[in-house]
This record gives sequence, structure tokens and C-alpha cells, in this order.
Amino acid sequence: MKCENCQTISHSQSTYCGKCGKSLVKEVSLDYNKSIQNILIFFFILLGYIATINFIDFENDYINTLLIDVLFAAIIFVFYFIDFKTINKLLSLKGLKKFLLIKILVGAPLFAIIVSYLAGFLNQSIFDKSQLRYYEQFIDSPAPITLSIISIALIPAIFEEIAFRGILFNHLTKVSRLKSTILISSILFTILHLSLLSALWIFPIGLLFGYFRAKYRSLWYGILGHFMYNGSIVIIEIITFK
Amino acid sequence: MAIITSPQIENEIEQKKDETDIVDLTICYYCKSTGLNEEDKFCPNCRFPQNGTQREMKRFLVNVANKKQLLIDKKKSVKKARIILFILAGLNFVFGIVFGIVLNFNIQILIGSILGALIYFGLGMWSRKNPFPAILSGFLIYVVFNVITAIANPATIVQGIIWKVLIISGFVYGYKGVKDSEALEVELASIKEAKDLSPTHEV
Repeated sequence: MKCENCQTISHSQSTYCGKCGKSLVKEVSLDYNKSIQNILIFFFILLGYIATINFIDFENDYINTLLIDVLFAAIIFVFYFIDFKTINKLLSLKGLKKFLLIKILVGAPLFAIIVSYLAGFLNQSIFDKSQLRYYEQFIDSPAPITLSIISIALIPAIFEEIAFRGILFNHLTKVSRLKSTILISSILFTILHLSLLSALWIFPIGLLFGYFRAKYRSLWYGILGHFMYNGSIVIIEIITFK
Repeated sequence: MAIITSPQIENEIEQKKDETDIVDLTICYYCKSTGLNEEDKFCPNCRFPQNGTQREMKRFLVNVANKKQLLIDKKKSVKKARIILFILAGLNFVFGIVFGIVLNFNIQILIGSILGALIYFGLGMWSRKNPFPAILSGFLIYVVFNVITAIANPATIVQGIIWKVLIISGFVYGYKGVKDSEALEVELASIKEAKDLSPTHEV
């Protein structure tokens, strides 16, 4: 082991240089402080964005909805470019498990049907209000089905997965164990949806996508599952729309 | 790990101060590592200044004692953060009962508060086993709950601002305390553990 300060060669088990006393091991505390800082910066920017769009009384039309989506995508793009090498590895198509993709392709719509029924029931019986219909915002648009699929299914699937299972997950793995990382990323994914009732299904979804990300080191399972789940919710809304 | 108390540290310093008479420079006076180079100023395992002045040796001992005290303080801040989680669980529970049942039946307040209480309680329990993710999550959930309340009623931002600052500081010191104490524990453990640093034992 060579000291960077005085170039003295030390025993391989040395922690300090015997000559100058300089530490020969990397200081861990500086690393985790930086990682925690990165987690908090990313989290508070997302929270600021969500709080702003909830606080400002936008007219609930498709143009505003799409603009909000573009803003979200732009924020995630900035963070993606900061860490693009690591995120790109997670977006590689090599080695994807086809059978698992098929399972997700079938399982996500089934789960969406259950959630849609459950959400409607809970909203009516507990909160005495009708369920929020995302599709309604796009009825006056030139292409309601296409735009609602893009805004509700495609953009969140890609960018929320890059945000939570990509950027945030990567920073979290530097300061916590893998199981804890899956749990924290799911908790943050859930709370940033700012919906108490939705937490019942968003949290397990977050856990599952986090598990896929950790086990297969790919974002594609989460992206596909997210897209199929959100897309199915839109289709159910279109079918049941009066 | 055994809990180190302040009197123990003070006694240790007192003992070491009177004993710094080093006979064999190949054995570290402090950590008892063997195979040290007689010409080296510092022990490569614990950084004890074997060939340093008495002043430097005492400074090292005081520094180690300070680190032990710092570890105790950091652990206290983790404990405080855990207590905050349980207090928030209790407050949410009481709030839910009072404003959701006793004063006026409101199912939304009741469910929201009980759910909040369960989340904080769960995090408090989790923090016993895994303090860092539990405290960090508790902190961020607390911030989000306050933001949700502020969106619904902006006047709540300044309500109980001192308590909010105290709770947030408690969480921040808590999760930083977990990581700092982990690093200090590793550092102090390596100092205590004697190694054979002779060239024949090169790994």
C-alpha cells in the first residue's frame, strides 16, 4: 500500500502511513454525506414541483396537463444527464427475461382492474365522493385516447421509473442496504403521489418495481409494469366513461 | 457493542497519561499491534505517535476519548429521532380520536390520522433494527405531510413553526448521527484491534 502524501510503502493491513500518519483508507463519511445531499436535493426538487402544481389553481384542461408532464420530464432529464452512464446501464435491452415481461404484461392490467374496483368502492363508501377520472381532462383534445395514454401511462412510466428506481435508487444504494433501499424508494414513490388512499396500492407497486430493479438491474420491468398498469386504468376509464 | 460512559473514558485517559513509557517500539503502546517499524513515527494501525513527543501522545489519547464521547452523543441523537417518531405516532393517534370521533365524526380525519400514527409507529419500531432508512423516511414523510397540509391551508405553514423546526432538526441530527456513529464505530474498532504488521505477515 502506497501513501499518497509521502509515497512510503506500507503493510497491506495498514490503516495509516507509519511515516506521515496520513489515512490510507478512503474516508467513508464524506461519501455518504454527499449521497444524502444528492437524495435530499432530488427529493425536494420533486416535492417542490409537485407542491407547486397542486398549489397553483390551473385550469384542468389537456394543455395544462401536458405542460405539467413536459416540465416533469425536463426535471428528470436534467438529473438523468448528471448520472447518464449509470442510468443507461439500467436501460439496456440486453438480457431481458421474456417470460417475466409476459407475466408483467398480463399481471399489470389484472391488478389495475382490481385497484380500479377497490378505489371506486373505497371512495364511495368511505369518502362519499366519486373517483377522480384522469381521462376527462383529455375529452376536448384533438386525440383524447392517444394523448391520455401518453400523459397518464407513457410519461409517468418512463420518467417516474427513471426518477425513483433509477436516480433515487442509485443514490440510496450508496447509503443503505439493498432491502432498505427498496423500502425507502417505495415510501418516497408513495408519499410523493400525495394521495392517502392510493398509498394502499402505490406502496406495494413501488416495492415490486424496486425488487425488479434490484434483482435484474433493469428499469424495463418497472417501465412496462407502470405503463400497463396506468394504461389499463385509462382504458377502464374510457370504457366506463358516460 | 458495550455502552461507553463518560467516567470510563476519563479513567482511561488518566491511566494512559501515567503509562506512556514505551520500551519496545515494534509493539504499539496503544493498540498492541506488533511488527511496527522502529523508525516509523506513527502506528500504521491506530495512528498512535510511537516516536512522537509526550504531548503528541497525550493529544492522541484525548482525541480517541473525544471520539468515544462523540459516539455517545451521536447515539443519543439517534435515540432522540426514534423518540420523535413515537411522539408523532402518539400525536397522530390522539388527533384522530379527538377530531375524528370525539368532537365531530369525520372518517377522513380519523383514517388519515390513524394511518399516519401507524406509519410513524412502524418507522419507530423499524429504527431499532435499521435506524438510517427509518429516520430518513420519517423525516421525509413528515415534510410531505406538512406540505400537503400547507397546500390545503397555507396558514398552517407558520403554525407551530418552532415545533416543526425542532422536529426537523431532530430528524436531521438523527439520520446523520446513524451514519456518523457507524463510521466512528468502525474507526474505534480498528484502533482497538491489534494486528501483526510484520513484513512476514503481509497479506
